[in-house]
Amino acid sequence: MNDRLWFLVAALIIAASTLWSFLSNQNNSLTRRGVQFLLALALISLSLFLMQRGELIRRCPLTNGFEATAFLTWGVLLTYFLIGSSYRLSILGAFTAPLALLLLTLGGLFSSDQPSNDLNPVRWSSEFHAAISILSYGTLGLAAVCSLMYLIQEHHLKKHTFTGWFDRLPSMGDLEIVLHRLLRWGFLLMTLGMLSGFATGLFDQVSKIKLLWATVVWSWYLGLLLSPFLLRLSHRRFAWMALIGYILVLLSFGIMNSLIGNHS
Amino acid sequence: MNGPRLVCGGISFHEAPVEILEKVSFPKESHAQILHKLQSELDLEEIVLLSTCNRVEFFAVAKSNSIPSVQWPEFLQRYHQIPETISDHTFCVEGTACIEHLFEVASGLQSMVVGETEIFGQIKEAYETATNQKTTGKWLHKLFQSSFNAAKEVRSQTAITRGSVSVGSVSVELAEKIFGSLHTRKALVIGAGDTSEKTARALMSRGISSLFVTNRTNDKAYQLAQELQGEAIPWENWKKKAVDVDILISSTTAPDFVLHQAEARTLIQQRRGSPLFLIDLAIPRDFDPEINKLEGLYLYNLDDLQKISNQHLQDRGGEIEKARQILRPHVHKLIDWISKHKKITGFSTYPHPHKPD
Repeated sequence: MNDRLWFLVAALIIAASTLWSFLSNQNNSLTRRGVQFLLALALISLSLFLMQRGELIRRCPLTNGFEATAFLTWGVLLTYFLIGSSYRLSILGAFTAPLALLLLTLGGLFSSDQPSNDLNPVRWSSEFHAAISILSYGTLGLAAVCSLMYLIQEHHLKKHTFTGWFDRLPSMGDLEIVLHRLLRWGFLLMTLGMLSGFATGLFDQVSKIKLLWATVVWSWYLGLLLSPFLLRLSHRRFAWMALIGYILVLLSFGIMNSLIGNHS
Repeated sequence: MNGPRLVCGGISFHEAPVEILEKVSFPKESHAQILHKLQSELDLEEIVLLSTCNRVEFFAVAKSNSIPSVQWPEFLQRYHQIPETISDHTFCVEGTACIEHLFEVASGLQSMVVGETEIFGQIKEAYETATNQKTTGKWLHKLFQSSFNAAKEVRSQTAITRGSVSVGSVSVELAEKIFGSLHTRKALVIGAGDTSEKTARALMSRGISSLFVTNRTNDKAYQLAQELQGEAIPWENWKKKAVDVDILISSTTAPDFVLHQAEARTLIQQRRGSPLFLIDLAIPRDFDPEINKLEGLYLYNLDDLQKISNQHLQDRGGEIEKARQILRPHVHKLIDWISKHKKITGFSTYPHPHKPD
């Protein structure tokens, strides 16, 4: 099967799970398991896409925006399954699915997919740097999803409104635990990604804007993780900062894509 | 009717005022004796007696000569020495209607608070008592086991039990929405009122780690703290203590607010942004409503809690028809089973005794 078909299959499965989770009762275990099953299928499809593409271009499939978006979505889904069942809150899948769908749609619509025909060998450290950085973006993406869920739940508790679909959201306390855990893991991966970037020996070839932006993003998350010890920040503002942090990440990701030529 | 029949009869809040219900209920310790009395006086082969504060009912296999519709109110009047006639307040149905009735009662569809699950446990207990007294046989075993299966399916497939319906349980539900598990949370009760005591008990049942009580009269605070296994705090110190707790429940009779917005602002700053859940059960209100505008503070008064409770009740009511659809195949399955065994009769269509209000 053509590698792009696997990408399409993943996008369709994720669209189906998004629809299912928003149209049905989230307290129903069948829905929860069904959405999880579909997301697992989407993860497999994306893995097949990345594997076939990797074999085709003989390198890690991060040579254009289309591949990078697929890799990022794969990272989000992988994190969803890796955080463990006790932290995989009942409704997290319902929020992960639309994020994954959004990423794949943006990747599919706005990034041209020209598989690389560059036959020059690639340093493993460069590939490690790219892969680990994108995995960190995936983890932080899921943290942003938790932040959004927290802010919605907080809004409803403040306004005393409990009707409709959002009544099924997990507690703010549980969302905070998952959010902090994901932020710690995401930050650790991001730091590893940055350190491995320095280790590539291609430091001089990287755009200074990209480098500056990456430092801003890294500092933002460092500040966020230290804020409970240093600032009297309300939990709501913490969630907002985690969400804004991910917007910075996506901007950074966009910059990376636009500069992909001199970054790969 | 030629052979034995499946019958059920009773008296419940649907048919009778509370003054009569109070008179006809049977204390738990007398159930064993009543079962045998009913069995002989009403000519029953098998019988289960259910007696709760809202209903006194029996489910039985009656012998061919039995007339429970007449004998049941007479028995109640005689046993409880009630001078007035109560037959207008009792009901008695047979066959399919009896099965439908038990299934609906077990599923909480016939309860005063639709969807409450306590009735399921009460039916189980009634069935166990009857089994221990050997007043059940093949038919009632099958009837009750089927009712348990049907009720479980209703509970899992509908939202009939969803949402709390008392002030105490709504408060607990909200606390869990804010904090998740309550095992590490602390609560402070301000004022020793009845509603705040119930709310505190509900929170304790969910495992909060510490409970503090304060009252203008120290003796009352100590008394309530002792009852709730908490700690009494002198009235002048409660605002300092509030910095360490996660839930504040207030029900004083103070004419003015006991916590103003400015004080609450200082409180949340001292808590370094950690959320605080304020439950105001007092009339007039104890907490300044402006407090809810502050970040990290979640204020609910009696009116807010009541609205949530009413909404939940309304939602549960909307699930009744869905629940009946789920019960229908269970009823048919049991009728098929009974028909195959061809011993008990009377499975024509009977009108349903009553529908919930």
